[in-house]
Amino acid sequence: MTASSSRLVAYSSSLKLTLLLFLFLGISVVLWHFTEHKLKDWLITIPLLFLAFNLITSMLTNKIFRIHGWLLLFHVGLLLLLLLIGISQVTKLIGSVEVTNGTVYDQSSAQWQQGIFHRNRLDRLQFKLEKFNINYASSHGEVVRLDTQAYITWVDEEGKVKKGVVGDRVPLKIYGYKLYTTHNKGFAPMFKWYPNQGGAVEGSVHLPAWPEHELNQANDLQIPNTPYKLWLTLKFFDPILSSTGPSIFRIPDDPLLIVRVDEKRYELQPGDFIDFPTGRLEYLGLNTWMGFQVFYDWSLPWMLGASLLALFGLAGHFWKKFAPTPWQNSLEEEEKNRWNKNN
Amino acid sequence: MEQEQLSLWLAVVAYVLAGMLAIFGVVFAKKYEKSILFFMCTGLALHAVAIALRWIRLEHGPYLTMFEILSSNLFTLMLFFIIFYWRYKPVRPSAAVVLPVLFIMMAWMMFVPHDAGMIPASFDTIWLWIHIGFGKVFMGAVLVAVGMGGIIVLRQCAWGERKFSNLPSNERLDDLAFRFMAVALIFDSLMLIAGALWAHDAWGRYWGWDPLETWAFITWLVLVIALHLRATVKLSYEQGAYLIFAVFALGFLTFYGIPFISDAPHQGTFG
Ligand code: HEM
Repeated sequence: MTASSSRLVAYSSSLKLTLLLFLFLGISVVLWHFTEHKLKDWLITIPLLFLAFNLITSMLTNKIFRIHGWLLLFHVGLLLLLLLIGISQVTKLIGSVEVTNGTVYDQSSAQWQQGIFHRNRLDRLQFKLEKFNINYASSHGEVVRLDTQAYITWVDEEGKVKKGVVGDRVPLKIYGYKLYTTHNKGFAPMFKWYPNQGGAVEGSVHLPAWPEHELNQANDLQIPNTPYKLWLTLKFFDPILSSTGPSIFRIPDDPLLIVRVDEKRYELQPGDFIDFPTGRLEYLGLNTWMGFQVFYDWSLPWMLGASLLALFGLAGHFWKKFAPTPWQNSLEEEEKNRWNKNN
Repeated sequence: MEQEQLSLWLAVVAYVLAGMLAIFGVVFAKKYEKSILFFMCTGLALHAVAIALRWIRLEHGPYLTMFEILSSNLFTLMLFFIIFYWRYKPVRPSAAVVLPVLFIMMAWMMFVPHDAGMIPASFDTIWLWIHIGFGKVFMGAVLVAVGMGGIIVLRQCAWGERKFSNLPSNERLDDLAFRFMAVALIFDSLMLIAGALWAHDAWGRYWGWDPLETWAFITWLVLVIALHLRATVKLSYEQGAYLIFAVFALGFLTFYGIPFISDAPHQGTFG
């Protein structure tokens, strides 16, 4: 090895560098919170990559890892964990999907972010949200969300139809994806479009999540294959959730749907319709929707394994490090040193 | 309700008496060790009664509101310290450092509202107990280390040097303190792992960098930095002590400060 390359190895395996990188990581994690930049995850990825590199070179060159097996095991576990975090970043998928009550999942309502090596199978999912319940209670005049149940029918990987209830901590599992119910839900006016030519189609508009966007219950509806765009909003005075007792999320008793098309304003009740030059739009009534979180990450059990392995190594290391110098030994040693000094 | 308040107040009084005796013991070079142990144990027993009465009344454990979190942590920290006090006789005067630290928690606990809270659905799981349990051992271990560190720092001045002269040397206090820091790292790591498993279970994500998770990670990182520094750079005992304080302060703020300024134990819980 040349002098300059051995110096490079010495620098990159240095423990002082490790300390700097720890500091770098800590600062990065804090900075991460103060930026909305789309590349912000690199703030955390870069120090982790450097730490992994630092750790690898150190494990290859630092003799201490050959002497202390437990310490080696611990750092190998850490390295595995770093590696798995990297693999997870490129293979995982996190997304969300909104499903109208009583209808089947439609991939076009899904949004997701996936790693570059993720094999996307969201188009294969087949499930129907039969109905859902969200219970609320009151606590000191405030409404608190309790449990959620979503009644689902789905087709599993073998093509069998299954029924079940999912909700808090129990996700729907299909094709390796886990779909969790969330607190995201809202109202969904349902419509049917009868074009002058061709068959009728049904659809719904998901109004913004409720109760977070209680004061902004408005959205647009683009009628498929037409230039017609409607703006609609929902008004009701019926308190859905109670601040004095138990309540559930439900459709209000007397909702009023206000629709604007260009300059015209309509107030619709179920069964009302609006005529357009090329068809008729019927308002079927008010429904609800629920948001699901979609999650895929096969590396999770391995990450758990790696972290437990690391911890096992760490516990072993400390056990060994502390056992041979019990309290009493150092006492005696100190006595001996004092005695030696005095003589 | 009244009995509950009464036993809590009496527990605090007993703890404060133990703390005062510990301080007087150091200042006046007196041995009140048996009385200190007695008051700590009495306080702990009364505190247990207060927690149990509230548990029975509200039908859930002490982990929802700020008051409950402070109370149950004070209880477990006290329990750890009593075990330590009982087992490690030579360093008993560290009670004069540790108990005043706990006074802050007591004052805080008595001033936050004592009302009942609501259990979110995600709390109905064994992970709650595992996660919280590991966290309590972590804080207990750091607290004991704070006791050693406090003596090392107090010894920097002549008065402290004199008052703590019959305790083991700084070298041995530092060694003992960092053993507890090692235990703290293991349990802090276990707490993070259990927390991630629970978060995955509850919200479909194992790590989301919410404020609490971020500060918990930073606490863990500072603990790792402290141990790495000690293993690789020759730290002075005093510097080691300040690192222990830093970990304790961060852990303290993460446990009690962050849930206080953000609206829920974790942001993902309510909505
Ligand atoms: C990424 C997270 C890391 C954690 C949590 C971690 C943690 C630890 C811990 C707890 C010890 C034991 C200290 C003691 O015995 O008191 C240790 C020792 C050590 N670590 Fe790390 N470490 C990490 C990364 C690294 C990296 C990147 C390197 C690469 C240089 C490294 C190299 C070492 C060495 C050489 C020792 C032995 C030091 C000695 O006893 O002289 N560690 N580490």
